[in-house]
Amino acid sequence: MTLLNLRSANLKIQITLFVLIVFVILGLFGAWLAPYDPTQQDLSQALAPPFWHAGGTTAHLLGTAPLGQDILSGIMVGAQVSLLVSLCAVALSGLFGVFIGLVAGYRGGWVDTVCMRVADIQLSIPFILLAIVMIGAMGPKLSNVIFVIAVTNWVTYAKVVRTETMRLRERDFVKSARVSATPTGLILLRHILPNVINSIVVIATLDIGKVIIFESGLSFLGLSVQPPTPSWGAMLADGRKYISIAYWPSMFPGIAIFVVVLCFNFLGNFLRTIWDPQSKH
Amino acid sequence: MQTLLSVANLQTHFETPQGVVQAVNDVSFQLKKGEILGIVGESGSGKSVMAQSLMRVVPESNLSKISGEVYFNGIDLMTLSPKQMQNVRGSSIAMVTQNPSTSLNPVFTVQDQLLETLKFHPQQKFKNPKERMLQLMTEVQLPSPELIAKRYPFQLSGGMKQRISIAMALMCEPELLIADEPTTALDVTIQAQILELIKNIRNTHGTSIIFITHDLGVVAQLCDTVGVMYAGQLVEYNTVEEIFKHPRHPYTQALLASNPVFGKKQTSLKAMKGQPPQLTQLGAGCAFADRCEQALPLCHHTKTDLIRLENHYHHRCSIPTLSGLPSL
Amino acid sequence: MIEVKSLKKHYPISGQGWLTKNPYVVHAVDDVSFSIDEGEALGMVGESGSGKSTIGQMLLMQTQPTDGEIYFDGDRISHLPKSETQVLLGNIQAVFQDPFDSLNPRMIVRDIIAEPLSNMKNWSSLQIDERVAELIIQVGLGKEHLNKYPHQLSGGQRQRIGIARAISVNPRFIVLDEPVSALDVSVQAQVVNLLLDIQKKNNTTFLFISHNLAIVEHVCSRIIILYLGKIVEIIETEKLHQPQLHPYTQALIQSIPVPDPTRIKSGKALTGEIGNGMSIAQGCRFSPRCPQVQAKCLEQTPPLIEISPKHWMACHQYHDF
Repeated sequence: MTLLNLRSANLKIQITLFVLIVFVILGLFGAWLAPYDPTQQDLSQALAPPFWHAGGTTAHLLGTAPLGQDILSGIMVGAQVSLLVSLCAVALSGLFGVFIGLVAGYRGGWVDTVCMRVADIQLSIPFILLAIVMIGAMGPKLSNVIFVIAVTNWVTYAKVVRTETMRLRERDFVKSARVSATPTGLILLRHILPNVINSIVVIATLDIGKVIIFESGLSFLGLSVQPPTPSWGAMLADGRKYISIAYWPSMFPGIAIFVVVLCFNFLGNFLRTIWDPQSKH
Repeated sequence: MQTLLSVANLQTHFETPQGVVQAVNDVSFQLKKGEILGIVGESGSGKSVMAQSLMRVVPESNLSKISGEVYFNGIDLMTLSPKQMQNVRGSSIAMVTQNPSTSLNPVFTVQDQLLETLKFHPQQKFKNPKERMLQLMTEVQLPSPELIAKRYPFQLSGGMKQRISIAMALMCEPELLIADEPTTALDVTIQAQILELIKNIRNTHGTSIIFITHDLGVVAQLCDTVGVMYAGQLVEYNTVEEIFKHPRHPYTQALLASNPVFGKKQTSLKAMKGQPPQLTQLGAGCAFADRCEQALPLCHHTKTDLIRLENHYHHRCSIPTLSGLPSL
Repeated sequence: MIEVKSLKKHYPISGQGWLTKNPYVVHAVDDVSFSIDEGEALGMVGESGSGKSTIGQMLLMQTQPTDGEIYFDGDRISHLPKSETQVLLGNIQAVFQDPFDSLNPRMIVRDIIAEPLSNMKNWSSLQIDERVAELIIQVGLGKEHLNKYPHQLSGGQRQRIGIARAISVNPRFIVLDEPVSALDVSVQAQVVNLLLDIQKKNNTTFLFISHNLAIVEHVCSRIIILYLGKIVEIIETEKLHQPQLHPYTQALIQSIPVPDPTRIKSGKALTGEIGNGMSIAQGCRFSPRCPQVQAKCLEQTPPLIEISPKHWMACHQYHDF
């Protein structure tokens, strides 16, 4: 099934892809598409409700934040941070983790032992503690946030890929590849990797969602990008104090996070199905 | 001799994305007390599904139809409620499968698993369950039953595990034992021991046995009657002597001709052409027509006739004259 | 062409700790020596634990022997570094047992057959395609199969692909590890005929590993019988029906169910379990189960002796002739 067959895919996939495409567009062009500058304050409009409530206007469709910033614009521009952080952190941690997993699983022996002990050490360090220390030392820049998340996240990929590689190593078709004089690198690339891709895709798509939430958490704690750069997590944090009187400053960014994470999960399932040769026939 | 099992028009169909698969398609046969029936077939023949259908343990997920009559001691099993059927399974009819590693639970000892069978069939009143268990373990030729009883399955060899599976099946003194390829995964010297064991069970207890296999040698040595299955149908059903001396169905003939026999070296094996059929791609005619050396044009689009012989024996072919006997 | 000298493969049992001395070793292959002539089809028969697959792996240079040497055309091929074995694989190939596992489910047939060629020859894409087209017809399939995935093919068809892959580089020696055991009976004969055809046409040397004596008798001119890592007999196939055979070979033959209901085998089958290659007591490994065992068998390991031309046996009773 190529990308051109999207029309024949079912409705759920179509909606999922649509939402994700919107998310990517927002991430790339949000600053130009947003109706307002999300950092622009307008105290006369502070905490205005969404347009369907009394007191709301269509000027601010989703209402405004405590200092009058437009929430819709905040969500549209904040998508950029979530998109950048999630895709980059998952890509980095994924690439590194898969590589370590393949090598450790295939070679075994001391290489495997060393890699897995490093992974264990990594796992034993609490994420928040590491984040606080690293961001505290290096400063709350976007690139540092991506780095911190990547450094903690690679272990899952490594462990899963390692186990699957060890299993696959003994399969007849891999033995056959060795007898066909296939060099180790090609064996990993052509025989092992395509047969672990399923697991990787599942983890990665679940991960994107997880990382968006991580970043939101860091943002909430003030460890991610600082204001005035909008981010969904920061918006959640800001709205926290007002939740009893105004749900919209926290709720809508929360819904945005929820919808995007859900769509990535559906995407993961979809990709697994279309990449499996057996399901095509 | 008394008839223990009488199967008539058994049908088991599955629903798949490619259409309806008739895994068991109108199978009928009889089994007397103490008789050993061999069911021979390859991939897609439906032999395992048929065994599961008799015991009504066919996986329900894709099942679209299961019909026919299965008279066991005069009662049609197809009409029983699930609870009644549950009482029949394990106590009157028991099953041994190919891979003992999957039928034995790795986290329980041998003893636990053997005694469990008695727990679920309280109507089997054995004064001393443990004694019964050890007695059976001795009967299946397990060395040091007391020690083995306390072991876990992973500590035992394939042959031993299979003996335990057989012991488990015999715990409640079933009248019918269904063995689905029980020796296929075993070494040939161990297979010989197990086959001997099965014969002894029949001789000592009068248990009827349905033995499913693809090995013609095993069938010849062990069975009294034989049913040959192909693409869900029983294409030939007769005594073992007749099947080997006068095979009537072209598939049986081809199977016997292509089987390398130790001691009879040929210049090249008379191979059957083609491969076992995909049940989703069967045409209107005989399922074997594509591979049949004797096929006529009509075989490809006409359903085969059922040619009856004495004693419920029969075979199916569109060209009865070529396969040896005229239709009745 | 192939010479195997005193081949041994031992596996230590792990889990004993660094400091304790490890007494447990599995003798998967224990002092095996034999030779294979060019163009010969040699059968290797044994049950679980016989070591036949391990020997195959060592001949394919995929496992290193613990001791002993293997020679191909007079050159040593055991204990070589990987750079050298990769080149030698152009002459030594394999056909594997499980057609459902020996092909990469994510590769198309064309790539599967071409892989040895692209690894070992400096051919252009066009040349490789030509050869692949030639091969697929040689194994009895059609060009329409080249773009298919393994799961679209039956077991017999997959095994043919495995064979096409093995013969693609024109190897002089092929190790076949139970090549038809996992196939339906009606298809086994087809594949056996194909293998015989290939062997005769190209004068390829075969090591045919199997547990099925009937097929081995049909394909091979000479057979080696293994038990628990040791050779118990080497005999020409046509001599399998004379009475002077190793007790284990006799037991194997006795155990084969004959497809003739008028010849029911009565008499005891071989008793006991095969055991493992670990706790090897002194003496003959078959002695616990041997119906003709004597006191000497428990104390001394019988050497492999040529008791008549081309007939070797490791048994005390014939040794004393």
